[in-house]
Amino acid sequence: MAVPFMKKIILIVTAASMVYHGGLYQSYGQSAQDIRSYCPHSGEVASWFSEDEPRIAPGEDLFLMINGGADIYFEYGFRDAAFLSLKTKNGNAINLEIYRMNSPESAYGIYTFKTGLKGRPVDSGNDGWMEEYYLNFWKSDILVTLIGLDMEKETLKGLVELAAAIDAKIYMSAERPEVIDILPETGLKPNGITFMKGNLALFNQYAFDSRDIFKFNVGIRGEYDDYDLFLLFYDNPEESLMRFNSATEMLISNGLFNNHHKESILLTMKDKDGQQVAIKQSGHCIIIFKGHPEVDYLPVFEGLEKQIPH
Amino acid sequence: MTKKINRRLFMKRGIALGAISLFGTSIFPGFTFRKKTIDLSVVKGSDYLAATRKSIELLGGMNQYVRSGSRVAILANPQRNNPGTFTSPDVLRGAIQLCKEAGAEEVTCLSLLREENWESTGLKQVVDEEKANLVMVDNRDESQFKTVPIPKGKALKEARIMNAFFDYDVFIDIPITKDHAGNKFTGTMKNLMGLNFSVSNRTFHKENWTTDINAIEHLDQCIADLNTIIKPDLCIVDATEFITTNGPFGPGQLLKPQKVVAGTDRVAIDSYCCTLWGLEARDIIMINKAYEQGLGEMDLSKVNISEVEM
Repeated sequence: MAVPFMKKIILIVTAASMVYHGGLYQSYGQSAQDIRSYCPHSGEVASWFSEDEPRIAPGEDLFLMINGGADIYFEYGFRDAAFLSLKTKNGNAINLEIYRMNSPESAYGIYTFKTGLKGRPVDSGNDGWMEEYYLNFWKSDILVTLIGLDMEKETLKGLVELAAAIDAKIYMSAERPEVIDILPETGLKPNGITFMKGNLALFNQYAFDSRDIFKFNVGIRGEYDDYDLFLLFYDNPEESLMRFNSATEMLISNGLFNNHHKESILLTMKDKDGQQVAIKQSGHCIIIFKGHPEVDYLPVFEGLEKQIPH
Repeated sequence: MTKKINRRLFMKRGIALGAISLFGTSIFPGFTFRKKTIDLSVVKGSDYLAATRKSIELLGGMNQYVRSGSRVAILANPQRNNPGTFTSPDVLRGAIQLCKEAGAEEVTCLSLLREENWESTGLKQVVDEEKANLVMVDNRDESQFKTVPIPKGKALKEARIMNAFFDYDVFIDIPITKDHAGNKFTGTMKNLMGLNFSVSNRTFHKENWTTDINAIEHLDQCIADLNTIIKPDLCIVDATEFITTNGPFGPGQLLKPQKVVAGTDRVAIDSYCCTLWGLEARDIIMINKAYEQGLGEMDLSKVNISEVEM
């Protein structure tokens, strides 16, 4: 099939541009360059240097690097990783870990899994977040984790400076998954969102059951002052209803909850800590409220259901 | 350095394994003459070396576990030098010193992880300074592992234990307790995966390499099964500073209870340690499984605990 001359030119320029910026994948928000190229060179950032080359872990080699810690990365979708130790002449030390995930959604997800509420925002990549002695940010399909091995001022400063240098090497960017916008903003704690892609992530948030009883495609958790919200998404309302019915049967019989009351597409119960748990099927979703028994979940559900695809 | 297998000890262990197959008893049944007054010692203090020594003193002294001329194998956790993810060098130092003082002919740390991990965590320095040995086993070399049947195994029918393990007549398990994304908790029992062939360990996490609906429970059952054939003569748990999120690799939120916990009942020790960050033994599937298999006591009200603050 003949391609018009101008179209050919446009295709060539577009392809050349994509290759220049790191590869064809980048047009989809994915990076294709050698993951080691994101690591800062010795001296690139003030006094920080490394005596070693970055160690890389493609695919399942991640298990050799971090053993059982690798599972959660694979649940989110993992491609490869680079590890590098940096230090100063004064003996301060930082570990750098760069994980390339299957998609920006996966990178955002593992970022939300690894970061907690006790931190502060920093200006690095997307959602740069500094906690006691470590800093995480995500950008495109990349998660960057910097760990200070001490809490000295020079080390903490180095975390931010190194993060900025790595950020500048990642050309692509991506937005957070749109689905998180469904969560109500009022009362949502800073960095209070966890984006999940499987049961292991959910199990680490709250143990509904050790089995994968919900089998969701993606899920989100929002942490509020008096309660948590979980939204689990499915391809269509039929599937969410089927999963609701099978999951609630297991929740009634797994011995972890009491005071069950099921009515059509709503199950309420209490957990061993006396927290109220309400689960409802709605459109493509299963929505779950877990919180203080005196908080009325009905208005929360009503607000959510207006946002959920039906 | 890779040690040659001592044929006499290997034969001795071979006979022990035969006994396992016939009677379902474990390797390293321990010395039968021990007089035990307490089940579990807990020592709190900022001097972790002193706390370690005190924890063993409370149990009646190291000579209850290590006799003159003993060859002692130690399994510590040199996971990574991220804060709160590896066994404290001072806890290891205390254990080695006490073994030597009890007359041990040889004290050797066994490891599937790289020497680099031992160096960066400061554990190699302790091994060298205390004149112990470090035996690194190549976790990609299948020939360095021996297949051991697990007669009482519910999910795991055989383990592949490093050959080097069979060179010793006393085994001391020295994990760090911490969070683990795979099953919420790691301590004495999960640490034993550090003796097993990595390829075999990976089936613990993902049965048949696929995500099974019971994958989390499968991991816990495999760990309990492994513990039916290997019983440490003594466990010394580093609960001084550890991560309570993003385990086992970190970085995560650090908790500093400054405690060393020692004893021989793995289920009791793990049941105690998980309470240090608000979990309960009943929340941890692995502990429940091990209890069901008769490996120890999970009801702490039935455990004689001696707690001391230094």
